[in-house]
This record gives sequence, structure tokens and C-alpha cells, in this order.
Amino acid sequence: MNYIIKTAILLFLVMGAFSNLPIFMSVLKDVPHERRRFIIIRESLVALVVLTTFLVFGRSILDLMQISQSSLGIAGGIILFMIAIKMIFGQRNENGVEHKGEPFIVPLAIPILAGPSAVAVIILLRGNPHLTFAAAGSALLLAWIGSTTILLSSLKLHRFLSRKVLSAAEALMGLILTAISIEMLLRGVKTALSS
Amino acid sequence: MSIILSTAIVLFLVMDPFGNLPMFIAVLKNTPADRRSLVVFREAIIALAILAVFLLFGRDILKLLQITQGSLDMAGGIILFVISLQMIFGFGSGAYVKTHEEPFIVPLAVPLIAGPSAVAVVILMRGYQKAGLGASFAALLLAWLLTTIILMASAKMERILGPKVIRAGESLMGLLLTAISVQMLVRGIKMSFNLN
Repeated sequence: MNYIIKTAILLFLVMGAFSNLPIFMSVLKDVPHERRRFIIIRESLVALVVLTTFLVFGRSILDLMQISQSSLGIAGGIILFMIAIKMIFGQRNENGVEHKGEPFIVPLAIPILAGPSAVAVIILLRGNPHLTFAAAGSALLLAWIGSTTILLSSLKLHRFLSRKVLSAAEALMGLILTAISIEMLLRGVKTALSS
Repeated sequence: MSIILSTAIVLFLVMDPFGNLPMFIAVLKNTPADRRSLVVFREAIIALAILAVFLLFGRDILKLLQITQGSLDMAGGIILFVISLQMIFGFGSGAYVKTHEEPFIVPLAVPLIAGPSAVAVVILMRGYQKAGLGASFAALLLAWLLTTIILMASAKMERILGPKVIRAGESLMGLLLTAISVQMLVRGIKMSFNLN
């Protein structure tokens, strides 16, 4: 149970619900109000499917390419660290923001919700012996519900959540994420050098 | 069989056809449309020849220069890591776009298809995977075939998939490549310092 919650929190941070809010808002700007809820749910479901695919097949992909857990941990840690730095110092990735019309899969589902760091964390989860498949799945579901709820509520709350509040929340999450990423990196280096 | 497949996947990721698509389209903009697939095919053949040469003589070249496998592993890992970060975060290099004539060898064959990381992987794969020359060559051919098909269809691919999907595909490939590059780096460090 403890592991599930810990994992869910990590996944929730990696999905970066708060940091994605401004991007979602700007992408959905041209979409009629009543369709926004539908689009957010659809994109979130696509992201969930992508992440679940990696949860199920991630190990086989790694085995096929002969990548060890520790290497993935080091690589994931570095990527996560770079993303966290971006979150703290606020250079927003403007990729795909100049989207006209209704967005589909790209850029909201991939790479904003199911980005490289989320995929790395998901694959690494399966290497943890304390975490069964069901537990990893429920952690993913929990984190997904959390971030989807925030995205959906943004439709109502965006008058109260000013840009300043959002960027403060983002910086705070980035700070936590740096520590988590270093933890991943160190664990990877330790196992890589001791095995 | 699984050695061939895993090596082919690594090589395919290193050749990075999705990442090269926009570059190919930009470089070939001034080439007549009916010549484009011919040019792409010619460049791909040249790249294959270069990689095959390194597959055959790579180890002799290393010996001649007195470079150990561990060093090449570390160097290749670092280059690959930088490239994969570019793929993920997309600060792409628009450095090769300024050609006006028909491109020849540079920049399409070398360094876009047969870049430094592809050469490093080709040299290293015979040392570590215990793959015979036949298996290594089969892997190279497999990866090359897939890359060439994607590049030949570059104009159509971009129209069907759209630049966003190509970009997402590149990011995902970059993610796998970071892990592969770290694996190379760790292997090189272990080998150089006898940490096994």
C-alpha cells in the first residue's frame, strides 16, 4: 500500500499536471467551450493507454535491446533532472503550442502527458521487486486520476488560478522532482558499478 | 537471431530516420521531385558502404590507433547521449540546410545516416555481442533497409503523419537511445577499470 502511494506520487509529479495547465489552456483556446471537457478526457485516455502499454511491454523492449535496469535508471534520472530544472527556472517548452484547430493525440496526449520521463519511470517500476504488476497498475491509475482531475477542474478554476499561482506550483513540483531524479541517478550508478 | 534483432534495433535508433526526415526534406527542396528518391537511395547506399567498411576493418583501425574498446565505448556513449538529448528536447541543428545544389555524400550520407555514433556502434557490436561477421552484417542490412524505406518515403511520410507525430516518434526513440548510450558508457567504464 505504502509503495503504491509512493509510486503514484512520483508518477503524478512526472506527469506534471500543474506545469501542463498553461499548455492545455493555450492549445484549447480555439476549441469551443463545451468540447474542451471531451477533448481533455480523450487525450488523457490516450496517454493512459500509451503508459499502460509501456507498463506491460516495457520489460520485453528493454530485454530485446539488452538495456539493463541501471542504465535506464541513470538515463531516466538525467532526463528527469533536466525537465525538473526547466520547471523550476521556467523556460517553458513551447513545442506544439501554435496549434490550429482541435488537437488530437499530439501534442496533448504525447508528449505532454505521456512524455519521455513518464515512460522511463513506468518501465523502471517493473524492475522494483516490491511492486507487483497490479500494484504498479493501480499506482498508474491513481496518478492518472489525479492529473486528469486537475486538468478537468482547470476548466472551472482557471479564473482563480492565476498564472503566478500556477508557476509557483510548478516550481515547487520541480524542486521535489530534482531530488527524486538524483535519487534515481544514484541508485542507477550504484547498481551499475556493483553488479 | 535475437542478437541480430537487438543489434538491428540499436542501429536503427542510431540512424534516426525520423529525426533526419525534416533535414532530408529541407536539403532536397531544390532538387527536382523526380530525382529525389534517386538521390536518397544513392546517399543511403554510400552510407551503407561506409558502415560496412567500418564493420570489416573497424577493429584493425582501432588497433592501429591503439584505441581500446573501453575508450571507444565511453566516447560513443557520450556522443550518443548528447544526440539523444537533442532528439528528446528538440534543439535541432539546422546547420545543414544551406545547400542549393544537389547534395552529394555530405550532409546526407555522412553525417546524417552514417554519423559518428553509428560508426561507433558498428565497430563495437562485433566486440561485445560475440556476433559473427555474418550476423553483424545481417543486422546492419536490416536496420539500413528500414531506414532507407522511411527516408525514401520522406515526402509522403511527412504529409500523412504530420510534423507533430514525427516529432513525437523522435522523442520516444531518443528516450530509448539515452538508455542505450548510458549502457555503453557504463560498459566502457567497467571495462577500462576492470570493475567486473
